[in-house]
Amino acid sequence: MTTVAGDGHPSQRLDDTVHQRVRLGILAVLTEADVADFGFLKDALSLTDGNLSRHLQVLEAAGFVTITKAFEGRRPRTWISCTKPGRAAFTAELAALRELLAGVDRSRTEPPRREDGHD
Amino acid sequence: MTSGSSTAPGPAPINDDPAATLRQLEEVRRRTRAAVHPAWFPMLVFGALGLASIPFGSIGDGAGSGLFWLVASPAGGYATSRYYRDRASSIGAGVRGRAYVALGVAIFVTAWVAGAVTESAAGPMLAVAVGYLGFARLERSRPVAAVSVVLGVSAVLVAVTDPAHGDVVLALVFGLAFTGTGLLLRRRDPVG
Repeated sequence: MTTVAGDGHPSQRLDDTVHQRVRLGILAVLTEADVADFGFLKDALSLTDGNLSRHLQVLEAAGFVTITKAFEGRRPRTWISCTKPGRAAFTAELAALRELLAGVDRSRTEPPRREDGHD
Repeated sequence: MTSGSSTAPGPAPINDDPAATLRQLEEVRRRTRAAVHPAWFPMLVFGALGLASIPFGSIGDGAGSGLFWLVASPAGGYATSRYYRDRASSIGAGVRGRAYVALGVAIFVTAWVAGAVTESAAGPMLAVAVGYLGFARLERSRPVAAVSVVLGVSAVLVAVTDPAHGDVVLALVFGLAFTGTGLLLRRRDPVG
């Protein structure tokens, strides 16, 4: 996890581990479903097995998800759930993205500044 | 959201447009929410039970209705719990049941206490309405919240005006509103 803390520009509050399209998607699913299996995540995010596995490993190493392997009858099943730090990181990421968006909107609506000495 | 431009884990941001990212994330969340919250099932089950309870209201000065719900509530709760569990296993995603079980027990107990204290159908129905507001919150469902408010307002009106057959009126409101909402939500269920 490589969070950059600070009250400066919102982009400095984006977490490198979370701020990645696939990993954001995984956390988005897991903050709505308390638990999801590998197949559900793969279908929901249109990923390949290998791609999803690699991103899950990154999130697990950061402590953002837990992965449990179980058997249902003879069928192996991998269940994934979001941890509290994972939920908090996702919430913080959304807040930072919304703040960035608000900044962009503000800059579009504000009139351009005139440079000194040019009027 | 698709795997898009990234095929390997890495720290690189993949979308420079926060608005597009937020839109995609909200769509993923909305689809997941719809898949793991089949609120239509308990609405339909308990709405149908509400309608089925009406004939029991005329037995033994309300005792028949009490006896009906003593059996029907746990049965409906068990059916709901089985459905949520089987569905989660089938689609590969679900919600943890503890909060739902706690809420179900709380509705059951408070409705019984309200019935004993007020000796009218309005008390238990108000308890049920408040309980279903909690259920609407768990399910993040506005239709369930709306129908809970309708039921709560109906219970208060019956308590204030004390009409003839107020218990039948409330059972009808409960049964029809919940069954109707259940059918409506069932049609929107992406899992089917």
